[in-house]
Amino acid sequence: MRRRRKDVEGYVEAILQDRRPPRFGAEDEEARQLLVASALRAGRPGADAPRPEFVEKLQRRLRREMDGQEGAAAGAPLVTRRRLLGGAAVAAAAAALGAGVDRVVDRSIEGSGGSSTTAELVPAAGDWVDVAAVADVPVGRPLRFSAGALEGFVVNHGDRIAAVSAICTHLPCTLNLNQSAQRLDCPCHPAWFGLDGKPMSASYAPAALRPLPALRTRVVDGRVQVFTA
Amino acid sequence: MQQPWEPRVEQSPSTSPAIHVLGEPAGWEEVYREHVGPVYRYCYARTGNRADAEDISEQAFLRALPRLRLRASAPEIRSYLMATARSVLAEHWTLHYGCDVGLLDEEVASPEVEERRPGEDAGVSRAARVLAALPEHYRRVLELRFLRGYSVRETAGAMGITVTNAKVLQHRALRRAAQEELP
Repeated sequence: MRRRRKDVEGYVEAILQDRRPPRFGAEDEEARQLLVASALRAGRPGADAPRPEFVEKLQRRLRREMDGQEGAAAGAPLVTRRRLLGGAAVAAAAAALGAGVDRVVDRSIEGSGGSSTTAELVPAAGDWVDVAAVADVPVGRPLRFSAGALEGFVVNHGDRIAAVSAICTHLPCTLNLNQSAQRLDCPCHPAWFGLDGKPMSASYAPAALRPLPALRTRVVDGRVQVFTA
Repeated sequence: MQQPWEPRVEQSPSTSPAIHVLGEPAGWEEVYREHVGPVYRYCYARTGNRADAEDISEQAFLRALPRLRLRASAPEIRSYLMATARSVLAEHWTLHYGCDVGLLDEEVASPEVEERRPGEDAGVSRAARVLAALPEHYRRVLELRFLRGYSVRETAGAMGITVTNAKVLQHRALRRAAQEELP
């Protein structure tokens, strides 16, 4: 009985500090206490209002789920699985990019054709994930992609293709492409990054704002692939 | 009213049949914005913390929205979203606390929350109702701790009792409140 009381107290202390409470096996009577405690916690005025950041973030997540498109307001085309599955003129895409990219791929480019390799795009741990056709990423037009848990931008720097995370390193908001300024803007705070992921914000000291993580990228058969760890 | 989100722009017309699942591309976003507050509050009042309330609300919308007929009436949509949230909540309590789902169903189905109108603060009124049913010293300890955010020590000071007694009082008050609210 004493242990159970401690468990209930642990739950109460956690929710009073708005922490995720510890989990434990509860009898019905304790479960009722936890539920009443939760209801009381919600009674503090304003306590049960959703955070605007959460509302925005969930809407973006739903947008991806519902129609596979995000960041439209920023004008960034978003690669969707549907789109990738549609197949692409792979050989033409490879040709369009030119030879520059070949030097930076992690693995030598395989023979032309083989577009069927785009069928499997669901990222598994430690796997290469196909995110775009090279032809879809001209210089100056970064491409927003979403591959499972991975959110990023593919950027063609002219002599190489790279990818950076699309999640702000300050608050985890999804960055928008600012096409005209050629940078990535955080919708939540005055924070922005260069297309190489380096922080550019005036409002934050560079030390405070970490650069966007670079994502390992390679080109195979005219397709850009990103490594998911 | 000006919407805070800009209209979506179709970037690749060749993929439009797959992307525009419904004839009204912004429809679900309106549904989301109208209901996210009530769904979240519903979840918060049954978890008492932001992290779980956010996770459960997210799961509820992810589960419900793709299945939703957007032409359904607003009450039907609300009811479906709440039912989905309720089932995610029941899973949460079963998984993490081994609770009887029947108890949860009874709890989360309490109608006063579902019938709440926008702007009405059901969280506050429900807490007030729970407290009103208690003897004064029980009401007082829960008020100080839950509504005013006092620590145990501050509560003990305010009530002129020892910290140990404040803990015991809180425990008994919560138990009594549970008996009153969820018989």
